[in-house]
This record gives sequence, structure tokens and C-alpha cells, in this order.
Amino acid sequence: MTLDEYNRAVDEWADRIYRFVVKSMHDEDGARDVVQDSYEKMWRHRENIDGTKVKTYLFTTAYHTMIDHLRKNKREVVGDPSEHVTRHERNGFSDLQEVLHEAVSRLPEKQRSVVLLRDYEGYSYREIAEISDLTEAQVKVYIYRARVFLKKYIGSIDVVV
Amino acid sequence: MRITTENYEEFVLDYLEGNLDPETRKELEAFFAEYPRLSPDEEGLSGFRLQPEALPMTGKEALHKSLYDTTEGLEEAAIALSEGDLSKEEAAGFQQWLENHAEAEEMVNQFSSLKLQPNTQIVFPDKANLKRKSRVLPIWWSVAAAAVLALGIFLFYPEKDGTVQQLSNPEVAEAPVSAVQPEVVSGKKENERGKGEDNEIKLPKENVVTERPVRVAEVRQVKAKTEPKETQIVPERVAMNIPDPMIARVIRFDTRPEKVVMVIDYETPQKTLAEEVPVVDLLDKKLANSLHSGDRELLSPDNIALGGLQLIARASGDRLVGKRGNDGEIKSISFHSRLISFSLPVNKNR
Repeated sequence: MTLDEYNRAVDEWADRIYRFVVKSMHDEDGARDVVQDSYEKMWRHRENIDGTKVKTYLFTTAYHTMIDHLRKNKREVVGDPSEHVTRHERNGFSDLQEVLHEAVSRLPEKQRSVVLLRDYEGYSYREIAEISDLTEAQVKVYIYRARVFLKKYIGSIDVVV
Repeated sequence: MRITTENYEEFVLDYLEGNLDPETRKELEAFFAEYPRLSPDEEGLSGFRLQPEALPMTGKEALHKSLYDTTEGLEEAAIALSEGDLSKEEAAGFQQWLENHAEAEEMVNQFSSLKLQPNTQIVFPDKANLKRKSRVLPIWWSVAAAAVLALGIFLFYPEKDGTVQQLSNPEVAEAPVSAVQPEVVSGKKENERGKGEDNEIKLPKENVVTERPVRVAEVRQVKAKTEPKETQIVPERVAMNIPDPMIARVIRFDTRPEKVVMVIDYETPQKTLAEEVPVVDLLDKKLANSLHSGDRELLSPDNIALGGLQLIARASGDRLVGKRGNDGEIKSISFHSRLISFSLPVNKNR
């Protein structure tokens, strides 16, 4: 990977990786650190990186760096659909996407990451499996469970509203 | 694979997206029929797709790397900085980068301290032996060659028939010129008559009278003898320089108390003579005339001298030229080179 390819990777993927990480961590400063660490790792290993697989390398590195960061700070958020109602009433969501993003923030770590990779980046189950170091079957299970959680979350809002 | 309550979830997404093979699909549908509470809500699940938010990362520019972030680029810049090879802009940019990279700054300082200082105590002991002698020999060769050449020109340059300025020529001085019938001599006639009789004097130009539209030849008034002859006419000696290729004719004579001015008209030659003529060309003509002349033997000393001089002239090329005077005659021979330059007057008597 050349210097120019590296700088192009910054311009092209930094925002999307940051968005994925900040939605997964709910910590902007932590997400910025994760993105910077990810790019530093890529820079250090640039001699062995194929320039055509930069995006997958970055998301994979960012995912594992984020997991390490969360474990160090023990900030994993475990979702419970029944806990949201009070917050919803206080915040007053205006549309479904806001509710969904609020619901995603309450998903378990792995479910949140894989559903974000699926919906935000459009990765296939196989690609998500490679990035998250899971099996393809595990990815499908996590995504299915995340969908069920989101449905229950939205459904409970409908009942309240 | 048998679908159970433990593994049915991994098939649900493919089932909802229509990616299951018919056999697995049939088996999954049988499973849902057996456990209806586990059957997915197809419409409810498909509507929960997240849309990406616009969430740009601030400070993204800090992720960019410069050439200084590479080992090669940093070393090259550090060396260039220590050598003073960076421009002002490059040095300022590099210094700014170093402010945020303390570890690199240390390396740059190391490069700066690696510059060697010369030990002036170390000298070459035999330096004097390395010095070259001055170029005495080549210069003497050039001087010797020039001397030989000058001697050859002086000794062997043949006398040319024609006018020579000699103020003290007694024959010309004694030849009276009538005030009423001056003789007008053209260049050709002058040459013809000049053979064998040096009774013509060409004096330096002193007095010139010009009347338009005609031009006046150069006339020099020479003091007449203090003792007049039998007639009362005061003789005057007049010398005229009329270029060879000019054909002149007398227009009129103006008699004045002190002198007689002869006004002549002449045709300007179509081709002006060059001021400088390569000696080799002059010698070509001279040698050709001499070889075909019946007056001299083929291997006469003059011919041999002319041949030798011709060799020298050819070797000298354009550096050896003959310079014409105002009358078109060769007055001197000049040699110019980087080492030596000289000019010798031509002795027409030789």
C-alpha cells in the first residue's frame, strides 16, 4: 500500500468507519480513538495490505479494536426492550429511524455490530462473518435476533403511543 | 441437518429472503408448524432496516500521512535539513511536522550531529611535487614558430609592383607637375607605368577637396623646391592615391594662389576590396604566377621560399591575413592566435 493509497483510504472510509464505531460504542471520543488506532495499525502494516481490500481491513481492524476498547472500559450496553418506554416518553421521537437507532443502541454488542454492518454498509453475511470473526450461521442468528428485538421495541412503542 | 429449537434461527433470514433450498424450506415450515410461536413475523421483521446517518468524523485530516511519516521520507528530509537543501517552505513544513512528532525530532538532531568536521591537520606531504611547471616549452615553441613565420614573410614575400609611399623618392620629387596640364593617372595606367620605373609617389592624404556631385581624388601638396628653374612657374610635386579599380577622368583644374586643385571624377568599383585577405590566397596567386613565369626556374630559391611560406600560411589558416591600406594594397601581414598576435609591415622592395 502506497502513501497515496493510504491517504485516499482516509478520505474514503474514515467517516463510515467512525459512524459504524460511534453507533456501536455510543462514545464519540472512544470512537475517534478507535478510528485513529485502526488507521495507525493499517499504516504500520501497509507493506502487507492489498490496496483493493482496504475497506474490509479497516472495518475488521476497527471492529476488533472497538471490542478491545469496550472490554477495557466495560461499557457494554445490554438491551432490554422493556426499559425503553420511559426514555421514549421523555425524548419524544419523531419518526421510525430515530426509534430504531435508539433501539439499536440497546442491542447487545455483537448484535448491534452485525446489524450495523448489514444495514449501514450492506455487507453480505459472509463478509460480516470475516469482519467480526464469527461464522456465517452466527451472523445470521445475531441479525435475526436483532430484528426480533427491534420489532418488539417498536411494537412496545406503538402500544405506548 | 435437522432443524431444532436450538438452530432454527440461522435459517430464518434465508427463509424470509427466499434463499433457502426447497428441501430445507419444507423442513423449516414443518418446524414452524410444530412450534407456531417461533414462526417469524415476516412483515414485521422486514420493516426494520436501519438507514445510515450523516455522521462525519471531525479531525479526519489528522489521519493523513505525509512523506515524513515514512522512514525513507523522514531520513531524506532530515538529511536535507541538515545539509540546508530544503527550501524555506519545505523547511517550515517539516519543522511544523516535527513539533507533533517528538521521536522524529530526536532522529533529525542525530542526523545534524553526524556532520563531519574536517581535520585540517591532515595534509599531503608531497604537494610540492604535484605542481606542474609553467608552460614555458609550448610558449617558446609558439614564439619560435612566429619568429620563423615572420622571418619567412620578411625574406620571401615578393615585391609587388605598384605604388609605395616613399616621401624621399628623389625621382618623384624631381618630376614637375604643370599647373595647367596635370597628368591624370588611373590605377591601371599607374600600374603599367610603374613597372620598372619608380617615378610615382603616393603620399599620405592631407588635403581633400570635395565638390558635389563629383568626388575629388586625394591630392597632397608637396613643397616645391626653393630654387625655381628657368621658367617662372613654381613647380609643385603632387602625389595622388587613386584606388586601382577606379577609372578617373579629369573634370577641371582650379588654380589658386597657393596650389592647383585637380578635380577628377571616377567610377566607384562594383566590388569593394576586403580589408583583410588570407595570406594563403595571396600566396596562391603569387606562387601560380611564379611557377608559370619564364623568368624563374621551377626550383628557384624564391619558388622554394614561396612554397614553404605557403605551407605555413595553410597551417595558420585564417589567423594569418594580409591587411589592405586605403589604396587597396597589402600593407601588413597579421597573425592572431590565443598565444600570440603580431603584425608586420610589408616591404614592397622585397
